[in-house]
Amino acid sequence: MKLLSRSEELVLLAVLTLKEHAYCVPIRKKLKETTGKSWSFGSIYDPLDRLVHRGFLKSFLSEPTKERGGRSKRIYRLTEEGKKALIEIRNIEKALWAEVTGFEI
Amino acid sequence: MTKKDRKPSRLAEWFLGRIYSEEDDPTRLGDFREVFQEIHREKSLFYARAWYWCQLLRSLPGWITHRLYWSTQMFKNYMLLSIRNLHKNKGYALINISGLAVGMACFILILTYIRFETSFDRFHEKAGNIYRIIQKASNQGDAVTSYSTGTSELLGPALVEDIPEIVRASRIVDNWLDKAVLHLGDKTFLQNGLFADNNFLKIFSFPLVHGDFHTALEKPGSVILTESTAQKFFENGQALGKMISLRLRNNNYDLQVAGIMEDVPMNSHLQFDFLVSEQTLRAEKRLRWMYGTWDIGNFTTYVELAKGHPFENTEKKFPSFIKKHHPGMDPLYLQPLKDIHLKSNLERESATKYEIRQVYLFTSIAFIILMIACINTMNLATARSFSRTREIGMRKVTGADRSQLFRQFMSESFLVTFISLLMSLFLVRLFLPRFQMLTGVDLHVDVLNTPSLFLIVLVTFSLTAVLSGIYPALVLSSLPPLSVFREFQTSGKKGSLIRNVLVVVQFSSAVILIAVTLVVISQLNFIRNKNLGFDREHVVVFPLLEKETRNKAEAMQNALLQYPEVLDVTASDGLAIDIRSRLLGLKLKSDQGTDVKMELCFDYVDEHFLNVFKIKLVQGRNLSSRIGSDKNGILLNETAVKHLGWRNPIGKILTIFRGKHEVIGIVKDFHFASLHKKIEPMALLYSRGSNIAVRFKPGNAQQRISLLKDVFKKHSSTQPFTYFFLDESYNNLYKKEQRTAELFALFAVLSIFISCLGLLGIASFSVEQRTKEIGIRKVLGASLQSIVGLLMKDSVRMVLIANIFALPIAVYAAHLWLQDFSYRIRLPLGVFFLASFLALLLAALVTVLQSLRPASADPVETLRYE
Repeated sequence: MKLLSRSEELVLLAVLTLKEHAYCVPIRKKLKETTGKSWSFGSIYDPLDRLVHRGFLKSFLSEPTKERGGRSKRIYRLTEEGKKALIEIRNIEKALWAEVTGFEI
Repeated sequence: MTKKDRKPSRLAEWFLGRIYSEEDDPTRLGDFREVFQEIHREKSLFYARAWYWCQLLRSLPGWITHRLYWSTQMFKNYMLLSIRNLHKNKGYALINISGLAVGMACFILILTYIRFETSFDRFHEKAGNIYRIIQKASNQGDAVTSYSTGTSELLGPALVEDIPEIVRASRIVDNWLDKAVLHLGDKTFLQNGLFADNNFLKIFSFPLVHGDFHTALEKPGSVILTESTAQKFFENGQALGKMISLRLRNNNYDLQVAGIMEDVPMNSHLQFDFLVSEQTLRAEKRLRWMYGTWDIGNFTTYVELAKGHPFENTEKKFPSFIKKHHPGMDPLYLQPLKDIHLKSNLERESATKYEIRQVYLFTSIAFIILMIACINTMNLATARSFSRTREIGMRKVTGADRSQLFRQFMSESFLVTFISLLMSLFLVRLFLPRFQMLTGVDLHVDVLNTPSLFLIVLVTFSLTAVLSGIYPALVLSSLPPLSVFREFQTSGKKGSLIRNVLVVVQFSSAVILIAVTLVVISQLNFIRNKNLGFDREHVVVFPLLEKETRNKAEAMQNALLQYPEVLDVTASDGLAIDIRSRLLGLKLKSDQGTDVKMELCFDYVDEHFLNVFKIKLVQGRNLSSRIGSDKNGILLNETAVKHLGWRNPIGKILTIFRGKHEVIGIVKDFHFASLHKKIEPMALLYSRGSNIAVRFKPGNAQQRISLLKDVFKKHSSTQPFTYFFLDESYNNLYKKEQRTAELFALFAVLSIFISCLGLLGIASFSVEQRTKEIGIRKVLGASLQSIVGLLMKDSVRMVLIANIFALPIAVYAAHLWLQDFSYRIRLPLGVFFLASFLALLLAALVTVLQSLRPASADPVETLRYE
């Protein structure tokens, strides 16, 4: 199976931390805060769509709100495969980092 | 702050919605809206809106490339499918494309023609500000008002002086120089000219190649030649300043070439080969009577208004103008230059008239033919939808939505139309010479280099594609996918109803065109064979155009009478088909002593006139050269006598031009003008004229002409010999109608052809659909005739219904057209039945041919695959 890309990984992590509030706007905000960089909507939608397609994320619609012009939110939640993929990428990183020497973190 | 203010701009949101429509996820717009609100809260509305637009702009490039990519992909696919489809059904494709090609070719040809007709006089820079002065003719007995262009020479200058918005006025004299003789050295040509004053070239944009338009027509004795005229006389092109002589009936003028002009375009109502300065006439002592008086109207006056002045306002100033200068003058009006060609309807005008009605008529024919062709495509496409249900169903099942199918069928229609367009352009090229001959107009069909023509073609193309494609595309794309699974699918009742209605419309239009054509033709035949009150066969006329030749008229007459072939010779101004001089406001006393006002047509003839034209005398005697008092004799026609109410007209005195004329004879009424007009009061005065008309015994025309030419050459050394046959020139009076008839006939034939093509397609389709039914019927013992009859029933019924609709309309249209003629046929009802019978026959023929093959096929073959 293909490994997660960095943006996919970050988005997955953001979804994981936001729990039931995980939809596009807070995800974007979260990533902005943690990375200190600006994220466009496109750069969030793309990995989100891809992750849904790969079965790492599941989405459902919330009640529509007035603030959003009567439109609902699309809330994302991690699937079991999603968790596995996250763990896998973390393990790989761990294993690689373990072999690194002479590099102060 | 109200709630409304906190929304992003509606346009931006709509756009963004379009961009994200592909994902079909409304939450995305919601996301944007949420962030928008946030920015709005934290910063300002302006900032938020700016951000929103920014987002939109950033997503545009990606969206556009995406759309482009997919639409080209789909377009390629649609084209491939369309080509395959055409390939698979070659017969239908052929019918379809040839019908459309013929229809579009007609449409393009007619539109280029109409474009020409409506382009008249628009090439003048000041076209919108130029007006011709026309005058209402007052003393008209009947209700019809007529206008004339004849005005006094004083009018133009007085108008410029009194009415500030009239910038310039120009006067011309036309008619005088029709077929004038221009002469230089050993070269002599007949050319048409005008006398024009110095303002003429300042008002009209006839560009000079050489010479100065400010002064070219200033001096007496100057002439401007058109390039092609100059070419005839001066081969080296050095014409400026040279002398050339103009020979008129009574005068010779030596003129100096003061300018060379570009040839007059065909779409100018003024047509001439040369312009002579009007000062030339003014310098002439003999013509003093035309000048300095308000009573003589030999000039046509054109005026130029200052920009931005509605001419109606200027017209309102005319009554007081008339009061000031010449009370009692007939009311004056302004006629816009642009209207002269299409809308003018005057007595005695030099340019040929082509009414605006004709333009409307042909425009509607163009649209009718295009519609007939489009209906073909529509019908064939929907009829075939049956055979395509499977394809459509499959597409729908595999996920094509309706708009995609719609687009597929539209692109198919565009492809078919495009192929037809190429074919139609080829047809246009092929038939252009013939069409030019029919219309008598030199049309240019260089599509790529003429923007307006290109536009016409483009409009034709898109109109046809959309018209013929939209209905089938709507119908076909709406077919339910379930139909795939149905084994037998008869094309829906509704569909075939609409199809039948369309066929009825087609055939109605065709029948109308045919019927009207037949009426036009029978009226023309009526004209051709009408007893006019004189005999126009075997009469040859040649005009004497210059003074020297005119003086020899009697000698020529005598010389001609020596030949045994010649029955009689007359030298007259008027001809039996053309008595044009008009006397307005003649006042006479009737038997009861009351005043009778009469407009009298008159012309000068000699004593042979009645005999040459075989006009009957009903009372009194003919003019005679032996009786000296006949110099002042006059012949009236019956209408004139009736108008005056004279019981004993012989011996009465008429005063014409201050001369007293004694009535010595009454001639039977004859048609001296076209049959559009009623016979008017007419008088023949005694004087030798400038046309020699010769009545021959029937025989070889060629030999007669060379005889005339020999005699003519013996008496005249300078004037070129021209002649015409009286009956031909009579037919020329109806040239316009002749053309209308021929064009009508052409379009009627084409429309019925296209309709039959469509019927052929539909019939063959319905036969195909019923192959099995036919097989079973045959097995059960049906005869060939009964099966053919069965198949014919539908189309015959449709054409019958079409006739029911068409006949009243055709009768009405024909009735309208005939109104133009004072002497006309009664509506020939037989003709209408002939038209419907023709349509019926053709339709039946087409279906019979289509059904013979399946009807005679072996049922074993047709039923085998069951």
